[in-house]
Amino acid sequence: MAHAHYVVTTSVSPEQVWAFCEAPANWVELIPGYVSHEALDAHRSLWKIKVDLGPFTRLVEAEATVTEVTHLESVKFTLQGSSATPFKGNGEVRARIRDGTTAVHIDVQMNPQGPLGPVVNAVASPVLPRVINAFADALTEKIERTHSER
Amino acid sequence: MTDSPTRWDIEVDVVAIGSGAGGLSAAIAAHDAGQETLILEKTDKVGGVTAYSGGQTWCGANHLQEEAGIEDSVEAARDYLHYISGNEYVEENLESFLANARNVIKYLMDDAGVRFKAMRGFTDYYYPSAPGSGGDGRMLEVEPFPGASLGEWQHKTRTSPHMPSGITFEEMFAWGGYGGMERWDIDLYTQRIQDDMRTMGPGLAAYLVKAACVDRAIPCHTSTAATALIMKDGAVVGLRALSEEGELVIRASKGVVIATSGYDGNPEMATLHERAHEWNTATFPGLTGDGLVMGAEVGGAVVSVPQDHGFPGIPAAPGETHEGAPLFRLPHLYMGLPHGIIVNRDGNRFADESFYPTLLAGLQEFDGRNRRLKNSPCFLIVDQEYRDSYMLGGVVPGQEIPEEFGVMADRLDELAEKLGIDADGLEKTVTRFNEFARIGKDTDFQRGDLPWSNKNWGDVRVKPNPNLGAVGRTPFYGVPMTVVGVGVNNAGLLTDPNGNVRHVRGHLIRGLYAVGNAASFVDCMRGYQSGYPNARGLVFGYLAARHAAAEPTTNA
Repeated sequence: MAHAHYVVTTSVSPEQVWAFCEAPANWVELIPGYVSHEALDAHRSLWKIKVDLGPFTRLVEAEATVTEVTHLESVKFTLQGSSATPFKGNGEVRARIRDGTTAVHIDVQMNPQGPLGPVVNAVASPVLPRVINAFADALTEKIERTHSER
Repeated sequence: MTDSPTRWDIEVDVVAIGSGAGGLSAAIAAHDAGQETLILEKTDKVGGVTAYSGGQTWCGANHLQEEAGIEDSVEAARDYLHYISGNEYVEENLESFLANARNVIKYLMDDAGVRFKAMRGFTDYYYPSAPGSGGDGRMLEVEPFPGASLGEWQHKTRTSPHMPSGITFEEMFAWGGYGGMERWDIDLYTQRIQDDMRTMGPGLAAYLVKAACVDRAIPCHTSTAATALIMKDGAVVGLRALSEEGELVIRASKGVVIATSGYDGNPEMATLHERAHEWNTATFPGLTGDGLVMGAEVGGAVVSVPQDHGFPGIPAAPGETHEGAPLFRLPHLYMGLPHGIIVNRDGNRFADESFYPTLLAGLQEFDGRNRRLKNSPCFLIVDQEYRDSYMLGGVVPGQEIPEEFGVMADRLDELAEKLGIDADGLEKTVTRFNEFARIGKDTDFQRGDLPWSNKNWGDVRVKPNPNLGAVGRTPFYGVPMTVVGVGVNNAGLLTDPNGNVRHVRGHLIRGLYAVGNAASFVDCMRGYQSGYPNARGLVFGYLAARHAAAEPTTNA
């Protein structure tokens, strides 16, 4: 299973982080390789991301479903890859006050499926942390820029 | 054409244009011969087509065989190369390879740290029937290479979108090969990937980059494209190049080694020289035949050999790209696996799908009466058994066939109609093929007869013949095939046994060399053996550099 956990800290309050992250439109394009997304309903959306696997790039399509929301604390979600990129995944985003700053924890796990799932997992395992790290840094930067402009 | 520079931005003895096996071997050898050396690489990464290859290096009668007690001889190697070349070769060039290959391999191991090992149990393509063919030890691959030891070059050295770098061929085939990926030692594979351990083509390239750019600190300019050679008094004395900062005028007082590979990324040039009606590549877009053009501009003879290098390949999987271009998968990874066949528009097979030299030749077969290529277009037909077990290019088991990629049908006649194939022909072909699968013997095209094919594209679970699995489990799938190149081309610059380029008028062009795929395959005109292109790149790269080093300085 591929796993990534990343923590970023920001001086922006949890309330402000929450208000920003509540609307996927604010941040979904920050995912490295973002191509498009489509809201299917209030909790589900379809994402297309071009994932840089190093020597080549693969278009990943996945349905993201928000499964649990604890206001100002955490959002849990699942990921379901399409038949083109079969995988199951889940994750959580948590915001905590820590030493006067807001620590945003991003935790994602992905499990490629199918008979070649383990081989795909071997190739993808180094990639997920890179993607999550880059996303988290971009997210923090945009949150802080958004609030400094206000 | 006159070009008399008023300045030289860089002055060295030897310039190697290109950073694959040929260019790096030349640079290493030139440096070790006391020459100030420079490497120019057009793209932003070094390693060239070598990094995209399997990294196999063919050397008959090598010292590793001797150490392992495997009998071989240069005479046997000669007989074999004569055979696979169709007895069409320039003898002095072939003899130069035979005379020097063993020593160059040893030099690269002893002096440049390249850790070759013999691929035990790997036969020559045409073993055992071909004269002089070898059953063990001629094919070499590298031990896993730690990418981190490349330092600043780690992320500037190419890896491959095709090869499962991180494991060796010996390991891969011990685990089940391309037909048994689900049985691979995934823990080991995962660890090797995470540790950036490089094997196969990426590994060979990495060893050479380490030797050249790290250990010897030979200056290497990436994103710097050579654009034109500079001549004086009939000799090449330097070249012009374009870097991100602007033009560079470079003096090469002993020689320029063109190691720019072929023209796979140049469809116009490829369709012209490869006798192909269309062209795609499994390599990268930067291979545009620059060396061929530069050499021809100064009178170098361009010679095409009667080989066939256009593979019947399948389209890129939608959304898979590579350096901005669609990624066409290396055909070797899916042709010849059980439960699949390749047919022409008449629904007939035309070659042994598990031995691609026959496919390449079949693709070029011309129907003189009907004035068309007999077997092009062609189509890959597989069943659900195939789809459940094997990759179909970039399409994984369980994935629906994308519309723009192929078609699916529950019956063969339906499939034929969707593909525009003769339905009756297809039905008869599949019936006949399935009987071959049942008895384990293909009496039409001898698929599965060669140990090479059994090892590379067989599935050991399929009995009685690992290359012959029936096409019977519905639904069926059909993929129209296109022409895909793998970086080896027909046309190149004509060279002498030292890699010195010949002028179209027959004399040698002082100061100009061509090696690897940039040099015409006159040493083995009709033939192909895995590992031979890498080997000749290494050998003639070395010979060119040593020859240049021994020559007097040209007058600038």
